[in-house]
Amino acid sequence: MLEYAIVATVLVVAAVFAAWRVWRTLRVSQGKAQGHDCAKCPAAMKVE
Amino acid sequence: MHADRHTVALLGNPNTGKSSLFTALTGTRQKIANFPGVTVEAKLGTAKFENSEITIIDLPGTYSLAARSPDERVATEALLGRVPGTPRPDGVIIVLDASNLERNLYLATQVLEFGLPAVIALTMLDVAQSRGITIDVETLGKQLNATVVPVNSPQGKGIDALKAALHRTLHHPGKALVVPFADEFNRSVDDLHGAVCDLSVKLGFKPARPEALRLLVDGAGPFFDECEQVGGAAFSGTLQKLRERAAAGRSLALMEAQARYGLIGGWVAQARTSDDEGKRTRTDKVDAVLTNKVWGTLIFIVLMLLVFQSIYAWAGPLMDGIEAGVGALGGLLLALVPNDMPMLHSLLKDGVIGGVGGVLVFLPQILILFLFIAILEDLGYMSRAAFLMDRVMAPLGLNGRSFIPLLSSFACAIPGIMGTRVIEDRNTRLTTIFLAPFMSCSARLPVYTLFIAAFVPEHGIGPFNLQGLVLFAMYWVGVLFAIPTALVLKRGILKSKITPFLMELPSYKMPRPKAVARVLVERGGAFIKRAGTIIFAVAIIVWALAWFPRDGAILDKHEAAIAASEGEVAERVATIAKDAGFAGDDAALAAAITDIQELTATHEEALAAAEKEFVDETELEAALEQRSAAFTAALLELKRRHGAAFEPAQAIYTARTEGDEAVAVIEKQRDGELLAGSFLGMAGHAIEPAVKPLGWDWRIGMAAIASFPAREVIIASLGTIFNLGGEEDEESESLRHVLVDAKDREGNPLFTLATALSIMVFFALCAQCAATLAIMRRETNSWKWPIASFVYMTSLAYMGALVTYQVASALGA
Amino acid sequence: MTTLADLAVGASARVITVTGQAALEQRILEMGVLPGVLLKVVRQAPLGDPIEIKVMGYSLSLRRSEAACIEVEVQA
Repeated sequence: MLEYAIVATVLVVAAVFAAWRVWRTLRVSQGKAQGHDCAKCPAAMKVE
Repeated sequence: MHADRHTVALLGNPNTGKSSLFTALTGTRQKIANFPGVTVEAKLGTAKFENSEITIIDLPGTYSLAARSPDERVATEALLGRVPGTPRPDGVIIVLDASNLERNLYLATQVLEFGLPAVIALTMLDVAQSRGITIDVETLGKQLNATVVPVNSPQGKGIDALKAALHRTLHHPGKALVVPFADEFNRSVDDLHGAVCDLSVKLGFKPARPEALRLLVDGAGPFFDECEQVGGAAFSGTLQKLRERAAAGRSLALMEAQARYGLIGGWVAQARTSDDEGKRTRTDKVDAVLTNKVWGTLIFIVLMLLVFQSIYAWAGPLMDGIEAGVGALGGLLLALVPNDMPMLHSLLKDGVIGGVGGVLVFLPQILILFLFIAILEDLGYMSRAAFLMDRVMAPLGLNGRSFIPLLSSFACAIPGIMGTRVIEDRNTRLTTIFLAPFMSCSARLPVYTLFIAAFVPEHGIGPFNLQGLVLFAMYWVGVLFAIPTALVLKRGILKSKITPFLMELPSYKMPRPKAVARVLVERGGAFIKRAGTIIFAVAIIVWALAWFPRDGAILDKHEAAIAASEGEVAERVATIAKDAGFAGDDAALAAAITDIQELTATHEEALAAAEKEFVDETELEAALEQRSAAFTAALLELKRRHGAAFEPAQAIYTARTEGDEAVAVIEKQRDGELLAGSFLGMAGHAIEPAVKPLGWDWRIGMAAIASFPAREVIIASLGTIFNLGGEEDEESESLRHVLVDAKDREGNPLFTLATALSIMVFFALCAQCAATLAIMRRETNSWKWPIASFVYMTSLAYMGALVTYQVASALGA
Repeated sequence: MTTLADLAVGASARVITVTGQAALEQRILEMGVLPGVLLKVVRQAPLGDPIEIKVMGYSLSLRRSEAACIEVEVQA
C-alpha cells in the first residue's frame, strides 16, 4: 500500500507540474504572462 | 535611519561596455525588467552607496532615440517612467565609448534634452589611449554640463567615483541641453508639442518636448500611431503642415543630424587631442586577416568546424564521469527501496535515474558550445560573422541582422525568435522567425550525439573523423531546408523591399574570463534546472504511460511460466542429488555448491575488472588467459577438497544457473509484453504503420510521440522504454549500448545506420518544441504562424526521414 | 555623380549628400555619415558585399545598395 501511495504522489506532482507548465506556456503565448526569461535560458545568446 | 532611494536609467550605444558597467555597479543582484509588449531585454539591479540605494535600469543599447518600432520606443518610455511596473528614473547614466566619442555623443545629446540629472561614464579609455587619443575629462564635463567619470569596469576602476557623482547629481535638478536647431525648426517643435499636449487626456500621459521633436523629424513610428489613433486626421494634418514648415524643402533628418553633430564637433575639438590620423589600429590588423577574402572565409569555416569537433573531443571524458556518477548515486538510491516494491524500484530506476541522468550527461557538450559562443561574442567576432555572411543572406531576402538571430537559434530558437525584433522590416522578420526552428538547436544536440556515438563508425577522414562530419552534416540539414523555404516565403506571401543593413563592427577585445564564466554558470545552471524540473516531470509521466495499465493476464501467464521453470529446476536438482547418493539437504553438498558459486562470482568479477583495466588487446588476452588458468586451478583445488560432493554440486550449480537464465528470459518477455500493452505501447502500435517506412518500430514511434512537447525528452524516453522493455538489464550499461543491442521482432538489430540517420533527420526538421511555437504565437500575434510552422516542419521531417531511410538502406547502411 | 558604392577599397572620400528612403537616410545620418564628413573604404566582404568603411574613427558595414545612396567626392 505504501508503495502505491508513494508512486501515486509522485505521479500526481509530476502531472500537476507538467499541466502548470502547459498552462503557463499558453498564457505566455497569449501575452498574459512574462514569458521566456532570456537571461536564464540555457541557450540564450544576447543579441544586442 | 531612512535609506535614500533613487532610480537611474543606464543608456548607451551597443558595444560600449554598458553591460559590464551594469554588472560592476550592481553585482549579482539583477532581475529582468518586465516590459509588456516588447521583447528587448532590460535588467534591473541595485547599487549601494553609503546609505543610499540606487535602482539601475539597464536599457537596451541603441544608437539613437529615433523609434520606428515598439522596441526602439521603449527606451524613451522607460526614461519618462511610463513603463508599468518599472520605477520612474530620477536620473541617467550615459555611457560613452572614449575611442568613438562623436557617434556616442549623438545619443547623449538626445538623452540630455530630457533634462534629467545626468552622469557620464567614460569607458574604453585604454583602447582610446592605445590609439593616441587623449580626452580632457573636465572640459568634456563642462560642455555637457554633467560630471564625467572615467571607468574601467573589468578592473573595477571608477565605479565608486561614479556612484559618488551619481549621489551628488541626483540631489540637484538637471538642466535640459539645448541643441542649436534653426529657429523655424524649434518653433515647429514647440507648436507640435502644444498640439500633442492637447491630446494628453486621450493619450493618458503628457508628452515631453523631446518626444514632439522625434515626432516632427521621424513622422512615423509607434508614438505617431498612438497620436494618430487619438488625434485622427486633424492630428496628421497638423503634423504634416508643421513638418513642411520646419523643413522648408530640406530633409528634417539631415537638419537634426547636422545640428547635433555640429554641436558635438565643437565639443570634441576642445576636449580631445589625437595623433590617430591614419594609424592602423590593432583591430584593423586583425580584421585584415579575419575578414580577408581567403583567410577570413577559411577561418570562419574552420572555426565552425572546430566548435562541432571539440564538442566531441573534449566532452567525452566528462560525459563518462557524469554517467559513472549518476550510476553510483542511482545505486545508492535503489538500495534504499525494499525488495517487495517493484513498481517504486522501476519508477526510480527507469523513470527518475534513467530519465534525468540521460539528459544530464549532455551538460559538458552544452557548456563547450557556450564556451565558444561566449568567447566569440566577447571578442567581437559575431558581427564579423554577420559581415561575412550578409551576401549569403541577401539573395534569400534576409540580411546580416537575420544572421545573428538565426545563428543564436543554433543554441535555442526562442531567444533567436525574440532577437528578430531588431529587424525593422516586418516581412523579413516573419521569414526569419519561420526559419529559426530549422536551425539545429542545442536540444537536438543530445539526439545527434547519442545516435552518432552509437551507430556512426569512428573512421578518420583527413584531420576530422566521420562522427564529427556527420554531426556537421546534421547541422546543415536544417539550413538546407531553410533556404528554399526562405525563397518561397520571400518571393511569395512575404515579399518586401531590401531593408537597411548598417552595422557597427566593434573593436576586438580580449574576452574577459569572468564574463565568459558567468555565461557558462548561467547557462549550465539553467540546463540543470530544466533537467531537474520539466524533463524530470515528463520522464516520470512517460514512465507511468509505459508502466500502466499492467495487464493482470500477462502477469499471471508469465508467473505461471516462471513457477513451472523453477519447479523443473528443483526437480532436476533433486534427481542429481539422489543419483549421487546425497540427501536433498546434505551439508557437504550445500557447502560445495556455495564454494563453486563464490569462486565463479569472483572469477567473473576478475574478468570484468581485466576488461576495464586493459585497453590493449594483446595485454587483455594475456590477462584473461592468466585469470582463466587461475580459475581452473582453484576449481581443481575445490574438487580435491570436496571429493564426492564436487561433481553433483557442479551439476546442481549449472542446473540452477540455467534455471535463472530461463527465468530471466521469461521476465524479459513479460516486460516486453507489458510495455507493448501499456498506454505508450498502444500509441506506438497505432502509429507503427506510419513510421514503418522510416525504418522505425513502434518503440521509436512512441519515443518520438513522447518528445513532441520538448525534443530532448527523447533521450529520457528511450532510456525508459528500452530499460522497461527488458532489452538490457545491467545498470552499468549506458543508453548507447542498450540501443546498439536492441532487437526487432525478428531478432535483428533494431537500429541500423539507416535507422539512426532517419531518426536524426526527423529530429533535425521536426517542430518538436512547444515553447518555440508559443513564442512564435506571441511574436507574430497570430496562431497562423505557429500552426503553419508545425504542420510544415512535421511533414518535412517525415518526408526527410523517409527519403533518408530508403536511400541509406538502398546503399546498404 | 560618384557614390560610395563606386569607390575602390582603400579610397578616401568626402560625403556630399545622403539620399534614399526616409528610414535609410535617417539611419545613415545618425551613424555619422553626413555631408562634409571624411570616410574611407576599408574593405569589402569576401563575396563583394557588404563593404566596410571607416568614419568618425569607427568601422561601419553597409551594403553596396545602401552605399549607392551616399554621394561622395573622392579625395586625393
